[in-house]
Amino acid sequence: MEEVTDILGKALSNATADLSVLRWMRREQINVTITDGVPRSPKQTTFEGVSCRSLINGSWGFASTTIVTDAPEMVQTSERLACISSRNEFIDIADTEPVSGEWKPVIEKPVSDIEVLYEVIKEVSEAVESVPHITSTSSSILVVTDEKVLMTSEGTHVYQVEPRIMGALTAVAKESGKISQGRQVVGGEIGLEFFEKGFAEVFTALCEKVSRRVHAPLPPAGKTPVVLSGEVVGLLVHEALGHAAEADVAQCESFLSGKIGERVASPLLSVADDGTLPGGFGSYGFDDEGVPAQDTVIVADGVLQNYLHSRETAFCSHTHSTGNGRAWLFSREPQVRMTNTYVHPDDMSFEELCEEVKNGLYISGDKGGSADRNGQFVFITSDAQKIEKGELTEEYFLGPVISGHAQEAFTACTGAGNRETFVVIPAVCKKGESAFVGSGGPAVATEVVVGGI
Amino acid sequence: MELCSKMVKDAQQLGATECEACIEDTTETIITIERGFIYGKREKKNITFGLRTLLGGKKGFVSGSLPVKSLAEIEKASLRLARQGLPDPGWKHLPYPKGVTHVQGIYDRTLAEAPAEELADDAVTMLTTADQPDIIIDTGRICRTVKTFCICNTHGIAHEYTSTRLDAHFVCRCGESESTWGVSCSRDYDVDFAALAEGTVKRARSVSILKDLDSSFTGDVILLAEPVEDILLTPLTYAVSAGIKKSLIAEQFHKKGASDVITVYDDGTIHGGMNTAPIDGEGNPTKKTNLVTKGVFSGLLHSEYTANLCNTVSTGNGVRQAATEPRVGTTNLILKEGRTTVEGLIEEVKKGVIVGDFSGNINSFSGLFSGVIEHSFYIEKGEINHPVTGVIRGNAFEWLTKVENAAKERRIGEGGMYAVPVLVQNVKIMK
Repeated sequence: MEEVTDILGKALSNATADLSVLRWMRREQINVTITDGVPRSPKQTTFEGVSCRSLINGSWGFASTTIVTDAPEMVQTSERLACISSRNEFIDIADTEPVSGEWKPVIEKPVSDIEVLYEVIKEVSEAVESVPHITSTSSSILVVTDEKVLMTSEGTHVYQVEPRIMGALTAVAKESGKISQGRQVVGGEIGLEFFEKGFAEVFTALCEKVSRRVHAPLPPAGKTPVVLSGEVVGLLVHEALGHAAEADVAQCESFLSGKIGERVASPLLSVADDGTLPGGFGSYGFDDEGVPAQDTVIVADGVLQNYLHSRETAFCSHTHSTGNGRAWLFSREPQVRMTNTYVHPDDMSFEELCEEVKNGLYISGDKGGSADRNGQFVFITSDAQKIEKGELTEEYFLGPVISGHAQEAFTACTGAGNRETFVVIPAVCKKGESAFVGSGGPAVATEVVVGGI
Repeated sequence: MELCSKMVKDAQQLGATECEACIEDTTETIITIERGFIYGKREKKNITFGLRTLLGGKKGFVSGSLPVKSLAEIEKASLRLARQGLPDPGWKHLPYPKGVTHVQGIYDRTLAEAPAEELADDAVTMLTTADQPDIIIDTGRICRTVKTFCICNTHGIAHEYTSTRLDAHFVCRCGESESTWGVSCSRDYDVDFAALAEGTVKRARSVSILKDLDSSFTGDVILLAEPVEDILLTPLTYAVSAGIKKSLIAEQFHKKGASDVITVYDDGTIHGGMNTAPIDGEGNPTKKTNLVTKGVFSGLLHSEYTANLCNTVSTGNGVRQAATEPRVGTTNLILKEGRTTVEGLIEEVKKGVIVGDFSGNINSFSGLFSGVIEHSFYIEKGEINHPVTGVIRGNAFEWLTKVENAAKERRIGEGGMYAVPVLVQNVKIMK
């Protein structure tokens, strides 16, 4: 790292901007996939580059390159761009204490070579060969290691390593013109030990679900009492509540705008965005503005407490950054992004949640969805199971589309599950740029509109 | 080209049976608008590569940014991955030279050389045009890209070309309306920035006071070009890609799967097309491929790999960025225009809606979609009545069979989709 620090340090010494932020980053990725029993070519990717962000008279300039030794030129280009000043908004950023430090989580069993990864996914693929109706499967493991150096003209100098691993499983079942598909993702800032323990079991369970619902009917449509699985709760909390709590969104307009101190959910629910979560897919030591990651309380006992901030949005709100200024690569500028966003577990068992619902559905599986800044959400789930007289039955449905308003869905919550029902799922969030995030929560009992598709 | 060629030769000397190197040198200049002001001014220079190495049926793929500390290490890593990988029984060979397609209109020197200050002035033009008391400007973006793509392989393929593109976005609101956006893209420096902003403002005003549907009903839906791209063409793209075992269309080849109105083709050769190029991502020449002809599934898109699997020839649809492996994908996907106009389609509707945007979920794989219609209007007896919100849901492949007519107003999507408005009859529109 000395060489990089040296290049960045020299480039920074010639910077004349009011604020200069130099970032170097190397991303190493290894990806192995087996599709339909056929191994896809293993992939190894290494991206490396440097960028400079300059703030001059309230105007940003940004320049990046893959040629690291060109860092001094990036400082010049960035400053030239910052000086293009026609119709600029005057930008300022919140103060932060300059920090120096290192962050590197300890991984129990790091990935040593590709053969080991193949062994894991080969075993997984073989485990599901006998599941009926399954016509296509894919299993993959992606190992991503980000190494970063950040130096600013304010005196911040940090070095960190973010080692992530994500396994993705996909299964397709077809019979008599009917088709169903399912996908499951697992991972975090962890090592291979996680995959050796139960990856095959996860895939088998997924294939059995996909197979079972080839001929499953749609569930009845309409407003329905439901138990939502932890991953669906995660989708809801990330897409519908988390994005609305990102200060750049809230400062424009979201259903959470101006509601600090107001009730936005059931008193049973507390929501955190925790960049310090050990093993979380969205965890890190410092954000891409050099601010230490934090465990930010968004909602406490149903009351909105905080928005998520970068230094820029923090200045506008007269507060401090919550360490959520994140950039996908060296070639991207930081913006407000979530880290690991989840509902805290409570104390109800899964059985108690079903009893709470009495007659309704248990809905699980995340096939994507969207929510707007007003809190309206539409999500596609993958599985539904009937709850009758407070008990989960063996009657299965296709995963329905669920829709509603986030605040109503969270306010209607009558029970939150215990740690046994709690999951945090890794994901790559898209908000213009990508970001590694975790999202999750316990299973919850609530009411949503079931669409039937 | 020299570096590309060297990587191939080196890998061959190290023992690779086949090898392909691809390099992309991209410079982007971006001006962004936030909250009614120019916000960011960025310049990004990325040089990326992809090295595909074969040892018999075993493949290794290494990619990343350039320069690298040691080219030899990269070449060795690619071979090491190939050795460690498992053999692919479907692998036959990398492409052999088949020439290049002569294409025009993919590079504009004026655009390539325009200084950042000039692009910032274009952003100011958008801001000034939309600077009106009832309009809130949300965001905007002008991005100029200059890219040189280079590919070499052990069978003698060695091609290089340079292209330009300009993408402009503008997003604003009026009153209580949701954000309304306008998009324009071109290979040339010919985007009318004032017209883009003016059109977006006009659109925002037209939907400033929304009304919910009184009740759900079964009627007609006119999808304008943008939702046609999202709802109908995107799932179709997935379905016409060969080599995907999951593709439903593969089982319906030469069968009727859409209405007579629907003719769709992929054409990587059209003048100035957003994805036009002389070669695809593997060095095969680009082509025109008919996919749906008057409702009948008539063709599939192939990369070299899927073509070899199916004992046919590549359609020039191995798409990629240098740092990613080629996959089957579309170039310019074109829905053939109809003879009427949007007004003509509206006249055909007794009761229905005209949909400008769709916000919701689309499962490209199954074709299932469900979501809210935005920038939409209620139509009764052939006349537009008032702006409206509602919900539509269904299956794209089923809707393709219900398309009754198509208009001729074409929209060029940034992803290279050329869609036209269509009239879909007898579908459920919900409150």
